[in-house]
Amino acid sequence: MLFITRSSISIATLPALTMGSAAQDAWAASLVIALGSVLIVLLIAGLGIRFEDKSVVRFSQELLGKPFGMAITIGFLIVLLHFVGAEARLYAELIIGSFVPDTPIPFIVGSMVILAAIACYLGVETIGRTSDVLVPLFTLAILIALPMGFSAFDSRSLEPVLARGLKPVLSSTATSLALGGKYLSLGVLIPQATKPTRILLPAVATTLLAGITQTLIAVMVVGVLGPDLGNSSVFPFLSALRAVNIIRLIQRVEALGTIAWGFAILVDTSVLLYVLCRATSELMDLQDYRPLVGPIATVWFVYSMQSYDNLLSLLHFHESPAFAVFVTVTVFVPYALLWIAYGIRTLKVFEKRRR
Amino acid sequence: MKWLSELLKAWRARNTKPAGDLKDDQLDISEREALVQRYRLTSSLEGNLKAFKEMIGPSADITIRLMQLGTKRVPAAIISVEEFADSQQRDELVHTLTTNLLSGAFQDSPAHKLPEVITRLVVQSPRINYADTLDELWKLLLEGFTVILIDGHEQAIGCATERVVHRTLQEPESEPSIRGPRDGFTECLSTNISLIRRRIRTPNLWAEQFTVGSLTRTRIGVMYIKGLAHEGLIQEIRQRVNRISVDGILESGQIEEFIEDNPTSLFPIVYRTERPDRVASVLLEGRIAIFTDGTPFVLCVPTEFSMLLKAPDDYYERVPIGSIIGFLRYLSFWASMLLPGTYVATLTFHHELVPTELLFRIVAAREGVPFPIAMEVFILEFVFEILREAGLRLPKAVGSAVTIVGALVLGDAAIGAGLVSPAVVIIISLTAIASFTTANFAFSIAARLLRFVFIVLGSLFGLFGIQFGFLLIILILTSMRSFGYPYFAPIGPLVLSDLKDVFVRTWWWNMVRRPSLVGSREPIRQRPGQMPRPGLQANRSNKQRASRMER
Amino acid sequence: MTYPSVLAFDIEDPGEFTVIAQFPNPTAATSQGSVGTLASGGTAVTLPFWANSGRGASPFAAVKNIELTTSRQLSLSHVDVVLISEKLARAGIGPVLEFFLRHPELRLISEVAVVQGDMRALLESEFPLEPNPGLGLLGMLEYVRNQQSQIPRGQLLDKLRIISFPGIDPAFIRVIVLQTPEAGQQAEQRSTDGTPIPKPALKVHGSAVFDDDKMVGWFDAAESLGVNWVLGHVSRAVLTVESPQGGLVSLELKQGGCGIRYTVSGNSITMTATIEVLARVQDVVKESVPGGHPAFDPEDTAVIQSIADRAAEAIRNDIEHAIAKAKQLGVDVFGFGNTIYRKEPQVWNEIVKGRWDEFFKALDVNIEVEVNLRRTGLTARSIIPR
Repeated sequence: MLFITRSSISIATLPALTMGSAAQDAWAASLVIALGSVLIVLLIAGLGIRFEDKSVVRFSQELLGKPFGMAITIGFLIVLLHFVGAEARLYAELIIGSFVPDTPIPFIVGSMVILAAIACYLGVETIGRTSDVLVPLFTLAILIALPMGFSAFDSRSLEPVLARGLKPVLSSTATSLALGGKYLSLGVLIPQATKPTRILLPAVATTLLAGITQTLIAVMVVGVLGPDLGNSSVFPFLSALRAVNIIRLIQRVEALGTIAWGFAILVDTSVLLYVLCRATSELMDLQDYRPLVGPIATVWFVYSMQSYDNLLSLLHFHESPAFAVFVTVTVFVPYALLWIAYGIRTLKVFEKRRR
Repeated sequence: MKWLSELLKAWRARNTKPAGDLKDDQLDISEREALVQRYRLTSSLEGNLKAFKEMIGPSADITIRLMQLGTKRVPAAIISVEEFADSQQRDELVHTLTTNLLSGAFQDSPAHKLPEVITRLVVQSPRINYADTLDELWKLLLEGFTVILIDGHEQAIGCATERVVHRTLQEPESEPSIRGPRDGFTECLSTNISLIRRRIRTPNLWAEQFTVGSLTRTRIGVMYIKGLAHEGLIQEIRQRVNRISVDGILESGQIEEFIEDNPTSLFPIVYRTERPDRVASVLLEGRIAIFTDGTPFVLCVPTEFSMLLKAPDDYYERVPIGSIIGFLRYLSFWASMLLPGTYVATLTFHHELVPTELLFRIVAAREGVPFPIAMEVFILEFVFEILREAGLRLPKAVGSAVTIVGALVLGDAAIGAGLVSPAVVIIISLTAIASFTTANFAFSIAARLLRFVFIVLGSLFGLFGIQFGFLLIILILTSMRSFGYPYFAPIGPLVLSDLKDVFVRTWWWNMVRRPSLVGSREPIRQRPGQMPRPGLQANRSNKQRASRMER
Repeated sequence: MTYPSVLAFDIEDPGEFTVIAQFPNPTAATSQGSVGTLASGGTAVTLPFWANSGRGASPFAAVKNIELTTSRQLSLSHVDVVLISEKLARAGIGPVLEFFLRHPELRLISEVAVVQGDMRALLESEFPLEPNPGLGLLGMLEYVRNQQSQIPRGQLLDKLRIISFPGIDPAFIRVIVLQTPEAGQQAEQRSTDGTPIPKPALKVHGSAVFDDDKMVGWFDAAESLGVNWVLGHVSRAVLTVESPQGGLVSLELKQGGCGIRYTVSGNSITMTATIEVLARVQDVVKESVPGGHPAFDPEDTAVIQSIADRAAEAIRNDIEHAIAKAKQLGVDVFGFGNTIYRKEPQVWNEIVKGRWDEFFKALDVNIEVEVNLRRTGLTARSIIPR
C-alpha cells in the first residue's frame, strides 16, 4: 500500500524538474499547484476507495453503462500513453543534449522502455519494492542538491514579490495541473493495495510534501538563475545545479539531479506502463496483463519517437492550452461524470432505504 | 524406433521382480540397488552371509567375525565396518557375548530366545536397532552399529558402537572474526548439530533428519525452533528436501541448487556459513538451518540480502563501530560493482564531472597508452581475476609468492612499459579490496562478475548505461523471493522497523522485535526498555532463576 | 582530448569573431617543472601550455575553427577564465553570452574579465608556480578580489543575472596587460638559462562598466572600490590616511554593513547609501617631527576619532567619484534603480517608466560613511623612535 504513496511522490515531483517554467513567481505557482494536485488526488482516489476491489475500468462501466465506461477507459489509455511517451522522450532529450550527444535517441528511449517493461513483467510487487528502494534515494539526492543550489542564490531575483499580480501565476499553473492527470493511475492501482480504504491520507500527505519540495526547488531555481534565464531554460533545475561551485571540487552537481530524475523516471514509467497494461487487460476481459506488456511497450516506444519532431515542439505542446484541454476532457470530465453518477446512485439507494 | 522397444520392455517389466542375483556382473547399479533393497534376510545364517558377501564384494574394510553363542553353540556372525565402529566397543561387545552366554546365567538360553536375551539382558550398548533387509543392515553398519546375525532368526540385531571421527574444532577460514567464538562447523553432522544445541538449549529446538542421494545416502539435518519458525516454511522445506532424487550429495551447494527459488540468479539466494554463532542467531530469528553430513557449510533459509553483507564481528563490537564498519561494507559492495564502470564512463563521456586538476593528472598519466580506457580496465580486471583464482588454487607455500609477483611485477611492469596508466591500477586494486570486505564469498564473486557488465555498459552509454545497469540489478534483486519471503527486504518492501539492523547496527537492548516477516509468530523477543541506566529494575525472572540455582 | 582553460574573444573589423584558446599541457603539469627549452633543432619539446586561435562568424563558429589547428577534440568543460577584448566589449558581448548559455559543456561559473591591452601577449605569458596559466589567472582574480576588493565579482552567471535585472548594470573585471619585453629577448633568456624567468605581464585592477551588453567605460581601482563599498562586496581593502599626530597611518578595512535608503517625493527620488566600515591599523609611517607626541598613541580617543573621520572622508570621496563617473557614463552599477524596482514597483512603473538611465543622471545621492577603528594590530603605542 505504501508503494502507492511513494510512487505518487515521484509522480508529483517530476514535473518540477522537467517542465516547470521558472518565471519569477514560480514558487507561488508551485503552491497553487500543490493545492490543485491535492484536489485532483481527492477527486480520483476519493472515488476509487469507494469501490474497493474494482479498478476504475470496472466501476466506470458499472456507473455509466458499458459503452460509456469503455469510452472513458479508452480516453484514459490515450492520456496515459501520452504521459509515458512524453516523459521518456523528455529524459532522453536531456541525456543526449547534455551528456552523450553522439548516441542516437532510439537507444536511450529504448533502454528506458526495456527497463519499464521488465519491471512491469515482474509484477506490481516488484514495482512496489523497487520504488521503495529508489524513492528514498531520489529524495536523498534532491535533499542534497537543493542546499547546494542555494549556495549560488541571489534573493534579488525573487523581488518584487508577486508584483505582477496573481494572474500570471494562475496561468502558468495550467500545465502543471494538467500533468497531475497522471494521478489517474491511482484509479487502477487502488484495488492492488493491501488496505485500499486507508490510502487517502498518505496519498494527500505525499502530494503536499511533493508540492512543498516543488516550491523550494522553484525558489532555488529562480534565485540562482534569475527570472529571465529561468524562464528560457529548457531544464531549469539542472541548469541551476550547474551553477554550484563549492570549493573547486564540488561542481557539476547536475549529475546528481540527472541520476535522481532517472530513478524517478523508472518508477514513474513502470507504474504508468503497468496501469496501461492492466487497464487494457481489464477492458478486454483478459486473465493476465502480462502478454500485453510487450505490445504496449512497443507502442509506447513508437509514440515516443514519432510524436514529436524535436524537444521544442514537445515543450510547446505542453505549455499550450491544447494540452490542458486534452487532459481535462480525457481525465477530469470523465471523473466529474463518474462522481455525478455515483452521487445519483447513492441517492437512489438512500431513497430506497428510506422507503 | 529402438527407444520404442525399450519403452515397451520397461513397461512390461514394471511389476516384475528384478531378475538375477548380485553375483551377476552385468547388472547396472540401479538394478543392484533394487535387488539389495528387496532382499529380505532369511533365517539361514549362511544364506544371509552369502548374500551379504555378494553385496559388498571384495571390500576389505568390513569385518565378519563368526562365532558360536551359548552352550548350544548357535552360529552367529558379528559384522562391523572398520572406521565406523569403534573397535574397542566392538571387542567389548564380543567379549560380553562370549562370556555372558558361555558361562553365567544365560548360557542355557534356548536358541529361539537368544535375540531376546541378547538385546535385553546382555548387551550394554546405548541403542539397539533391528534390520530386516540387506539395505537396512547396511544402513546400520554405516551408522557405526555392530550387527549380529544369528542363525535361525530373520532379524539382524545392531548395537550402537559408533566412533565419531572429526577434525578438531577450529575457526572457519572463510569467515574469521576478531572478537567472537572461534569454533566452526566440521564435516560430521552430529558434531555440528551438537554445536548448535550447545548454544540453544531449549527443548523446542528440533532437528529433523533426512537421507538424500540413492548412492551416497547423505544425512541431512534440518534444525528449527518449533513454535517460532513458520509451519508453512518447515513444511515447504520438508517437501523440497524430500523430492530431491539424485544419486549423490557431496556438498551443501548441491542441496542449495535443488531447493532454491531462483536457479538462474547470480546472487546467492541461500545463505551459507561455517559459523555456529551465526546459525544460532539466525535460528533465533525464526529461520531454518540445513546441515549436510560431510561438509561444514550450513544453509540458512529464508535468506535476506542484508544477511549476506554482515560480518560476525558487527554484533560483538560496539554500536558506533559496528555501524560505521557495516555501512562501509555496504559502500564497498556497491563500489566493487560500480567503480570500474563509473571510472570508464566518466573518463570516456563525462569529462566535465572530474575536477580539473585531477583530470589533468589522469590524462597526463594516460598519454601514450595504446588502449582506450574501457579496454585497459577490462584487460586489467580480467588479469586480476586470473591472479585471484590462481592464488586460491596454489598450495599455500607457493600461493603468496605468485600473487605478490603477479600483482607487483605485472602491475608495475605494465605501468613502466606504458601499457596501462597508474590510475587504472589504483581503481582495480581498490575494487578488489572493496570486494573482499564482504565475508560471503559467493556474494562478493557475484558483485565482481557484474562489474564486467558495468564496464561494458559504461563504455557504451556512459553514466546513463551505469544507471541502466544499476536499475536493472535493483529490479532483479527486488523481484527475487526466498521461500516466499522477499529477498530484498527490509529495503525492498520498506519495513521501517527492521531497518535498524540493516545499514547500521543498533544496541542489543534496542533489538526488541524480531525481523517482522520471518519472526512474525513471536514478534517480541526481549523486554523493551532495558537501556542501561542507574536505577534500572532487575529482571524478576532472572533473579528467580539465580536464586533457584543457589538453592 | 584537449582542455582549454582560457578562452579569449575578440572581434575583427569585418565583424568576424576571433577566439584564442589557451591549452595547458597536462604532462608538463605532472613532470616537476621541467619546462623544455624551445630549441630550434627539432628535439622533443615539452611546452607547459600553448595557444591556438580560430575565426568565425559567431563565437561558436570561431571556437569550432580552432579545431582546424589542433590534433585532438576540444572539450570546453574545463574553461576557467573567459577574456573579452576591449574592442569586442565595446561592440557588444551579446553573441558571447548566447554561446555560453546554449552550449552544454560551457559553465556559467567561469570567471569573465575584459582585457585592456594586447590579449595575445597575455595568453602567452607565464605564471611562476603555475604550470597551468589558466589556473594562475583564475587564482589571481580570486586573490585580488578577496584581498584588495578593487575588482567586482567575476562569475558569468552573476553578470547574466545583473543584466536581466532592471535598474542595474554590470561591471566586469578589468585586466591590464603591461608592457612586455620583446619576444626575442625573452627567448634568449630562456635558451641561455634553460629555465625561463616569467615576468608578471598583467595587472588586475579596476572594472569595465557595461550598459547591458556594451561596454561604455573604465573605472579605475578607487572607483571600483567605491562601487564595492556600496554593493557590500568588499572583503578587505587598504587605505592610508594622514594621522593628526603627523605621519601616515595605514588601515586595513573590512565591510561592516551597507544599506540603501530612499525617499520618494512627488516625482523625484533621493537615495542615501549608508556604509559601515571596520578598520584596523596595520602600519604607521612617521615623518620626522622634532619633539612632541609619539607618532601614534591610541589611548587618545580624539586621535582615533580623527583618523576614523579622515578614513571616512577618503572612502566617501571614492564613492562620490564613482557615482559621478557612473552618472557621466549613464550606467547605474550601484543598483539604485534595482532597489526601487524591487521595493517600490509602483513607483518604478509610474515614475520611472523604464527610463532609469536618464533618471539616474539626475539622481540625488547622499553617502554616509562611518568608520570604526577597532583594532590596532598587536601593538598599541608606536615604538618608532622619535
